Formats: sequence, C-alpha cells, structure tokens
Amino acid sequence: MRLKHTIFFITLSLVFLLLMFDSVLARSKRVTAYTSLHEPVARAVFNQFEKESGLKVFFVRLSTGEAVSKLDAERLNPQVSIWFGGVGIGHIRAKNKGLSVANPTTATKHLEPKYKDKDHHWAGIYAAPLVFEYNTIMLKRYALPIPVSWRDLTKSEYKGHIQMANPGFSGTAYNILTTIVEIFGETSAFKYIQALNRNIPMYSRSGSAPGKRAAIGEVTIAIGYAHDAVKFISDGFPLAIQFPAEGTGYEIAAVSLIKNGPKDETENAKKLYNWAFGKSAAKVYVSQSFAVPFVNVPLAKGAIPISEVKTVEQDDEWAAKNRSRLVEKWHNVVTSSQSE
Amino acid sequence: MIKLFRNPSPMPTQKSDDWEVADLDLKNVVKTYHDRRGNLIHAVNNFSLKIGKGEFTTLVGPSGCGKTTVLRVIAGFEIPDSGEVLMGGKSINSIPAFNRNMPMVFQSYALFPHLSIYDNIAYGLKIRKVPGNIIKNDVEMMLQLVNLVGMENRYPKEISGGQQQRVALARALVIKPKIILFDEPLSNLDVKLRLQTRMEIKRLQNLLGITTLYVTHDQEEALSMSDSIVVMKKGKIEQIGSPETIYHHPKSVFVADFIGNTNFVEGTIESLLDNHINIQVKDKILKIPKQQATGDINQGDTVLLGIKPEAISILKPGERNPNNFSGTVRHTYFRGTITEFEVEFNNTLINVILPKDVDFQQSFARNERICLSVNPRAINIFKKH
Amino acid sequence: MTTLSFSNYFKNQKITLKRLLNEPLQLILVLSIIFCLGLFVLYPLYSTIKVSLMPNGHFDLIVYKTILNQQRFKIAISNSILLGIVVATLGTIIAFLFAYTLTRIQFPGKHFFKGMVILPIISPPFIFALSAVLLLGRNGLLTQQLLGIENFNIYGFKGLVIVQTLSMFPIGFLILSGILQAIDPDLETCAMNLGAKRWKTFTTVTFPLALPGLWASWLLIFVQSLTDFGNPLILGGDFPVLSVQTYLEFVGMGNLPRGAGLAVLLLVPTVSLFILQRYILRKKSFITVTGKSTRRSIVSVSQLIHVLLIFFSILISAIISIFYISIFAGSFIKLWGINWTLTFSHYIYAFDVGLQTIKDTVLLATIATPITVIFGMVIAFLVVRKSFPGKNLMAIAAVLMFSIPGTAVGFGYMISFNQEPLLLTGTMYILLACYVFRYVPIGIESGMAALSQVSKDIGESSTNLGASSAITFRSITLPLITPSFISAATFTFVKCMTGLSAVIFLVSASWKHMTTLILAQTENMLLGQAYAMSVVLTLIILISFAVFKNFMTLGQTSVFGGISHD
Repeated sequence: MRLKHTIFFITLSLVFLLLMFDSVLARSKRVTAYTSLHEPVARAVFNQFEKESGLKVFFVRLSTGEAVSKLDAERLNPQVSIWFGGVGIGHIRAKNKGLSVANPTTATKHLEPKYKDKDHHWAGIYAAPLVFEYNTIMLKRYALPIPVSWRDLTKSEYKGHIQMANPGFSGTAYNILTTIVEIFGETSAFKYIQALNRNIPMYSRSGSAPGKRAAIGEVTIAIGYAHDAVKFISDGFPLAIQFPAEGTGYEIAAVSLIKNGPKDETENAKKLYNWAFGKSAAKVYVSQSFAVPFVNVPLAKGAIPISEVKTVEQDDEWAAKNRSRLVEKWHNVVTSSQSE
Repeated sequence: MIKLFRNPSPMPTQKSDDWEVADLDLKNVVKTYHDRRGNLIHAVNNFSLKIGKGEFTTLVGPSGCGKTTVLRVIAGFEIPDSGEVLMGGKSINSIPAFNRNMPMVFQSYALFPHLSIYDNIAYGLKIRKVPGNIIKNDVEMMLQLVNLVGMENRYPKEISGGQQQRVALARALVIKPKIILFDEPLSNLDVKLRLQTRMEIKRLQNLLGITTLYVTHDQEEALSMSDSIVVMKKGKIEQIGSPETIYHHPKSVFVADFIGNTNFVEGTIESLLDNHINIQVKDKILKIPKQQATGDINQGDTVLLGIKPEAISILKPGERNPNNFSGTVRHTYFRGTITEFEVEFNNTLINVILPKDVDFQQSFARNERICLSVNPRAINIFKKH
Repeated sequence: MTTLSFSNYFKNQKITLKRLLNEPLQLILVLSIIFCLGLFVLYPLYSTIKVSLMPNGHFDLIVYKTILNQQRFKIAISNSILLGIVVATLGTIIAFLFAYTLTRIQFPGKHFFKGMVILPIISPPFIFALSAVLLLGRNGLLTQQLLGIENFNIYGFKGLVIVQTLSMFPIGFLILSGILQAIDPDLETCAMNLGAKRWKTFTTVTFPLALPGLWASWLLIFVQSLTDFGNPLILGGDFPVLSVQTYLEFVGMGNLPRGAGLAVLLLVPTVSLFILQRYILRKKSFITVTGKSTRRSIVSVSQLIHVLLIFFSILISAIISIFYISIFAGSFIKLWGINWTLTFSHYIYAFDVGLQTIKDTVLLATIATPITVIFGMVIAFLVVRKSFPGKNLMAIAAVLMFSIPGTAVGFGYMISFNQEPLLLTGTMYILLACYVFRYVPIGIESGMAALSQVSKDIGESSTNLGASSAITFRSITLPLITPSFISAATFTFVKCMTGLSAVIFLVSASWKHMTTLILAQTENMLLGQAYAMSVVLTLIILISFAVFKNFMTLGQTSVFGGISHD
C-alpha cells in the first residue's frame, strides 16, 4: 500500500514539476503573439517560422477589435511583443493609441506605400477584398437569386439568410461597415444598415465565422474576405463568391510590433516581423489561407489579386479615427431596430 | 446485562508495579473569564482541594458551578489566573496538557472516528512509542477489561454509546495514568446503560486503585461511586465529605437541596434544650436532636427543616408517633419496590418515598387525607436567611 | 498580598505570557487575511463602481444615464431578466419533479439518474450550448437530419432557455433533494392518517415544506442565468444579455466606464439576492432535520403519477446524455452534418494548438486549489473558533465573492491590477488571485464542515493521552479534515478548470485557459476542434476526480505514518 502511494505521489510531483518547468522556465527562446489570423492558418504560419528560426511562438487568436482592446488594457504591462495579422484599420488604431512601436526594416521595402505605415509602425502581409459568399445548395433550396450588389442584400427575400460579424469585435465587420459608409455616405449608410439588419439573424464575434457557416450551410449568404471563401471552395464546399457591383472594401492584413513588450523577446519578435513579409511566409499564406500576398509567389488556384477587383476609395486612417463613433452608432441602429 | 467476566483467563486483578498513581493538591485556584457583555465571571474562586492516592473524588453541582473548569485546569487545558495545581507534591502549572499523563473521559466520548476501536485504545501507547508487542498485549488486556473483545476492528460509529464510553475508558486506562479524569461521562447514555457503565467504572477503579476525579451533576452517581464528594456552588466549595456525610449532614440548604430530593418545611425555634430543639411547624412541635442543627440557632429564629423523602412514613391506623402531621395525597407514583407520594402539607408538596410493604396495602385515593410521621433524626435544621 | 501569592502571581503571569506568545501570530494572520480580502475582494469592487461613477475623473452619472436610455442596453437588461425568470421557473419545476421522483419513488437505476444530473455541474458551463449547435442547429442531428426542420433558429432566446435550463436545473435539484429528504415522511403519513387525500397531502404538507427550497432553487438558478456568460456568447444570436454586453463593451468598444456600469448593474441584483437568501430565507425555513427517519414515504402520489414521473426523469436524463454523447461524437467527426467520416484530426489539432493552454490551465488550477482550500479553512477556523474585532466583516467579505458575477470579478480585476504597484495583468498571479478569492467560499464551507468533524473534545482527548499539538494535528486533525479538504479541493479544481466569465478578462498570451480557447474556436466555427478540446477538458476533470480520490485514501492510510512502530 505504502509503496503504491509513494509511486503515485512521486509520479504526480514529477508531472507537476514538468508542467512548472515547461510553463514558467522555458521562456527565453520564444515570441509571444496575438494573432488575428485564423487559428489553423496562424498555426501553420508559426510552425513554419519555428522550423526556420528555432524559436517558439506562443499565440492567442483574437479578433482585430479584441486585440486592440486587449493591448490597450495591457498597455502598462504588455504581454506580447507582436500582433500578427488582423485588419489594417486595427493596426492604425493601435498606432494611434501608442500601442505599437516603429520598426524600420528593409523587409518591407517591396511594399507599395499604401500597404505600409509611413512611420514604420505596421506593414501589410496581404490584401483581401470583401465579397458575398453564398452556399449554392442552400440558395437553390430556398430559391433565392444570387445577390449581386450591396443593395440586393436588403431585399426582404433574404430575411434570416445573411450573416456578418459584429463590427465591435471584428475588424472584418468594421471593414464592411466603413465600406458601406464609403459607398452610400454616412446618413444613407445607416438607413441601409437598418434595412440590412432585418435580414441578419445574428452577428458573430469572429469575422471569418460567417463564411465558414455559409460553407457548411448554417447560413445561406455571408459577407467576408474573398480568400477565405476561395479556400472553402477549393476544399470542396458548395460555396461561391460574388463581388458587389458598387465596388467593395478590402483589408490590408498587417503586422505590428508592440511597444514595451517582454524584454527578452524583442529581438525574436523583430525576427518574426521581418520574416512575415518574406517569401516563405507568403507561401504559407497562399497555401493555408489562399490570400494574395504582396510578394511574388505562385498563387493558389482561384485566388483573386486585389488589383483585379473593383474597390472603393478606402481611407483607413479616417476609418480608424472614427471607429468608436461609427460602431456606437451601428450598435444603436442595430439594437433599436431589433426591438421593433 | 453485561457479563463482568466474559473471558476470565488473563485478567489483571490489580494494577502492575510500574503503574504509579499520584495524589493531587489544588491550592487557591482562581480562574476568571469575561462573559459576552464583558463582565468578569469567577468560574473558579479560590478553590483548594486535596485528593489522596487512589481516591475517587466527585465534583458535583448545578451547571455553571465551575466543576468542569476545575477539571480542565487540572488537565492543563486552562491556565489558572492564580493558585497552583500540585501532583505528587510538585507543581504542574507549567507542564503542558500532553505531558501530564492525566487522560480524560469525555461526555461526548471523543473517540477518534477515523480509527478502529483497537487503534483508539492503542493511540496513547503509540504516541509513547511503546513497542508493538507490548501495545498488542496491553490493548488486548484492556479489551477484556472493558468487555469489548471481538469489537477491536470496528469503528466508533458502529458500536453503541455504552460501548463507545467503555472504549474511551480503556483508551484512558491503557496508558497507566497517574490520575484519571471524568467529565460527565454518562450523561449521553440512557438510564439502563448509565447504571451498567457506572458499575463498570467503579469496578475498574476499585480494581486498579487509580486516583480519580469525576465530574457530574447527577447526585446518584456521586453518591454511589465516590470516596468523597465535593459539592460546588458558584466556583466555590460548598461542602466536602463522604457520600454519607453529604447525604445525612448537609451543611447548607443548597447541599441538602442538591443531594437527595430533600423536602423543605418552614418552622420556628420554640425552645433550645440540652439534647434537642423544639421546633414549631404549624400547630405541631417537633423534637429534633440538637446535632441535626447547622450553624448558630437561637430561640425564635425561622428555620428550614430539610426532610429526606424516606424519613417520612405513613402512620398505620392505631399507630402513634409524637412527630406526626396530616396532609392530602395529590399524586401517587407506583415504582415497584417503592411508591412515591406527593402529599400537600402547609401549601407545599412534600415527596414521600415508601418501600414496598408486603403486609400493608399502600394505596390511597387522590385527595385522601393521611397522617404522616417523620423520623426526627433524619431532619436537618437550617437557619433561614 | 503575601510574598507567596506574589510569587505565585508572577509565575502564573509568566505562564499566561508564554501562551500569549501565540496571540501576535494570530493577530498577524487576521490582519493579513483582512488585507488580502480588502485588496482582492473589496478593492476591485470599489474600482469598478468608481470607474462607472467617475468616467472622466469626476463624479458623473452619464454612464448610467446612457445605459438606461439607450435602447440596446435597455433591451439587454430586460432580456437578462426575462431569460432569468423563464430559466429559473422551468429549472425549478424540473428540479422539483426530478428531486421528488428520486427521493420519494423507489425504482432501479437511481444512481445513474443522480449521476446524470451531477454531470452538468462538473462540466464546462457552456457545453450544452456547444452540443445544442450539433443537435439543434441548422445542420443539427435532431432538427435537420432527423426531423427535417428547416431554418430552425437555435440562436437566441429559445436556444438559451433550452441550454440554460438543462445546465442549471441540477443546482436546484441538489437543494430540493436535500430538502425533500429532510422532510420527515412521518409528516406526510400523518397528514394522510388525518384524512388527507394524496394530492391534498402533497399540496398541504409536502409542497409548503419544500417552499423555502423552491425559493432558494429559483433564486440560485435566476442568478446563475443572469451571470451566465458562455452560453449567451455562443448562442446569444440577436438576443443580447447583460453579461455579454459587459464583455462586449470592454472588448469591442474599449469603453471601460460603460463596461463597469454594466458590471455594476449585473452585480446589484445578484448581491441583493445573495443577502436576501442569506438573511431572510434562512430564517423562514420550516425544515426540521431529524436525521433519524431514513424510511421513505412511498405513499404520497398515485401509481399513474409514479410512472409519469419516472418517465419524465428518464427523459431528462436521456436528453442530458444525448447532449454529452453528441459532443463526444462531434469530436471524432470530420464535419458535422456535411462529412461524417471519423477522424482524429481534431484531437491532433487540439494538442498542437492547445497543448500549452492545457498545461497552463492544469498548472494554474493545481496551484490555486490547495491555496484556496487552505485559505478558506483558515478563515473558517478563525471565524468559528476565535473571536476578534472585524470578524463578521471578514466572514461577509470572504463569501461575498460567490455572489459577484464572474464578469464583474474579471472586469474588476482587470481594471484594478493593471498599474504599478499592483501590476498583475497578464501574469499568472492575477489568474491565481482570481481563482483563490472567487472560490475561497468553497474552502470556508469545507472548513466549517471539517471543524464540526474535529470537535474540541477530540483534540483535547488526544492531548491528554499524551500527544503534543503537532502529533495531534498529524494523527487526528489532519485525517479528520482530509475528507472535507479533498471534496473542497475537488470542487475548487473543477471550478478553476471550467470557469470562464472572469477568466476571459484575465487570460493573456503567456497564460491561457482552455475554456477561452474552446470559446474562441467555437466563435471561429472550429467546432470539431472545440469539441475535442471540451472532451479533453472533461477527461482532465474526471482524471482529477480519480487523483483526488487517491489522495483521500492517502490521507487515511498515513494516519500513523509519523508515529508508527516499526
């Protein structure tokens, strides 16, 4: 009896010590990161980086809005040294709030000026346009026409069939909101949103969730980024994409270094930052998320370069500055029309 | 009934040689505490007591009289404010409770619920690092002594209250204590078990001759078990004496009232004579031997007469007795060997206990008037304050 | 005084002083506990209230005015209350019927049914929401695949009522089965002897006696529903509730004052209900626990109702099992509703992405558990056995945390400990502190139970049998409090492993929690991965049960480890 207990006890303590060691001590060759990429994409990207650099990446996936709030809340004691991915507007907000740090590097030399910050606080890794994604089977089942314009989405026949994320959390959704404002002008835009809201049963927290739901038929039509949809299509889901006739907005998925991040990680974080704009990272973006990177690498089948898309005049600086106001207004419009 | 000797083989007839008992001497012990309102309460007030080797001493008194506090001071759980506790002539004030070798038997038994009966009894020996074979021997001896052979593997929850208390007793005795303490050990038992266990304790105490201090509020226990009784009141000793003394010659109304269900009847000293005192009770004069009076009594004083129930008898028809008076039967309680009556006399109810008399039919109707006689030598006279 | 009594006096003073040497220790202990409670219970509360009342550095009611004027907050408030009332009522009814069936009717397999009811209490709080998607979603097994219902919307009020009722009625069941067991069946028999019909007996005796329990159950479920975070986050849809809005206000809008205001709004009803329950309902209890009557009354309902009740219990248990089985099945299925091939890939993924998270979660729970329980037991000991000024305040502060919604706790911690000298955000310490002070009431409860086990007499009888206090502690006190300790530790561990609402504010890249990961995966429609992670979490909890059980026997066999003869 005694022996059994001793063995039990020793095993337990060993396991515990191992846990301790792993969680607390082994923290030198590492980078901690927030990422707003899809979790599986982030996993692939960081695995590739780990393989090449020998460093270990600890990451948490947060939506763009969440990431900014979290970084803001941790301002005095930042927990991560890099924010990887996420809609550029969020990165501009982070810069404006003084959360990121300038990192002049030759790694971003090849980028067009509109895809990087002039003060070197952030730079884009790929661009992705917003599209309508619809489930072909569901669309047929409910005998719905393909929506071809933003206008179409407010038609009453789509009631309960459309989904997008909540702009409060999701950078994607905020990108949708500002695109609508840019197309219709602010006053008409919120009238439009009121109408659109009648067709939307719920808003998700994550910007990519609606697309995935459309892919599996949980919802019929989603608004999201093209590359996500392209990936689902290539995976064999009954999904198709449609660019809106009025033109569409786009994201610049970006990377920022965080101000006052964990000290022993600064150099490692810079390594990851510089690596993010290179070819091997771009290959992972292509293979995992079907995105179109700013580096010249072979594209995935069906991927659509941003240059081939009719885009709206997009002012991300303006979008970042007006976020609180617009999101607040959106909340009010959406919730008060719900009570009707 | 418990068989006293179920297995008569290796019974200790007396305690072994290495087992020393001690006497106990309390000198001017004071223990005070503050109650909830912050008032200073003297739980024990200038308390002095000597207990000889092998003596069985009982502390009795109503609840709150300080008897348990005295016990706890002796055991070392309470530190006296002043005064000294001496064991075998040496002060033990600064000896911590666990080094005093004075086990206590609690009202709640306080058996260790997670230990078997065997381990409960062996506990004190294991702490003393007694070799295993001796522990086994001693525990088995104890199991025999308290008639619990065969129960050693059970747990306290699985045995009856009486058996639990015998385990507690065995557990205390096995460490060969110099003094053993009992804190109302029988209060949680029902009447029959209480009588059996009382006999058991007394038998073992007689057998082993350990110095014993026993606390109870039950006068019968005190009377039947003790060598000497200490009656306590409000932290002080009211009277010390043998059971017989306490019973027959209580020093105060308090003691008389506490011991023996005494009836009290008011009277006036009519005259003091050489050998006896004449006391007027209502329209009768009772002649009572002078030694029955306590304290200083003068003619004309109002006194209380303490009359034990059994000192009163019913006058048979034709019988004459000068100390007689009449009363009205209010209740009769037939109890087999005795019959108890409540007789109203002078607006008070008096308890009368009569042994069963085979020759005489003692049955009275309610409210029947009867004539009672009292034995003057069984009356105690107390001055009324 | 004579010389002798003088010297006696001083001698005694010296002894008293010796014993008093223990007192400063106690003083330090009490002071440090009060300090900790003040810092980790009252201060975060104070900060939250302060931020909501002073959004711009000076007193301003603007936050509350906005909250009470804006449609979306008004809707969230009324939604929360509506949901709470419906779930509490349904939950209490189910709990009562279930408890009545299990305590009053004899039928085989009772243990199984009890186990089924306990399961929701020990699993992650949002597990029903996860499986509801599998079962009742658009591609749900029940709705679409079996019943062919199209466009059934699980997201929103309906879905929340279903999952909250299922996951919360067990709390009511525990309360009510305790109370129904305590009602002396003789009372029921007696009522029938007095001529009452069965139904009459039920309405005039059983029901009124159970009424305080029904109230307690209702209130507890109401508070649970009000403070629930995971289910509405997953299934909320277009049905905003207060707890989620608090989080959203912080995370989505970065609006701390308004988040604080919402947290305060959430806190007001829960704390007042807590006080109501503690001080009013307790006095109204009619139950006299005799503890002797183990006979079951089997007379109070008719045979037909028996059968119906048993059927009902089987139905509820079956529903619960289906929810759990679907999670388990879902974790092995490639893509529920679309591609039914079996796969381990979700587990491979879960361990690849989540291994660090699993380690963090287990490590933190393992560290927090003993601290929490010991801390709670020490408080219980001080409160029950000692007297000192501020004792009642300490007791109240210590149990207060149980009534504060996790969302408010997390929020309060986040804003209270994010600057020097109390810079704890992002570290493991903030999570540990949150665990310890949130769950310390469990330790206190167990401490009370343990103290009733170790009566003063038992300790003293060990002492005067010759055991020093160290030996008494090791050989008597420790083994006796071990069972309470272990059960409290088990419960605390489960809570630490499954808590979400507070933790979601406090996790960071360095210290993560499985529940937040599961939630994030659910949000991102990585459902299979989320199910796999949930199964892993449930398995860890079940393993921990086995480990704790082993500890229990460890405590028992080593009773004489220190003083045994060899």
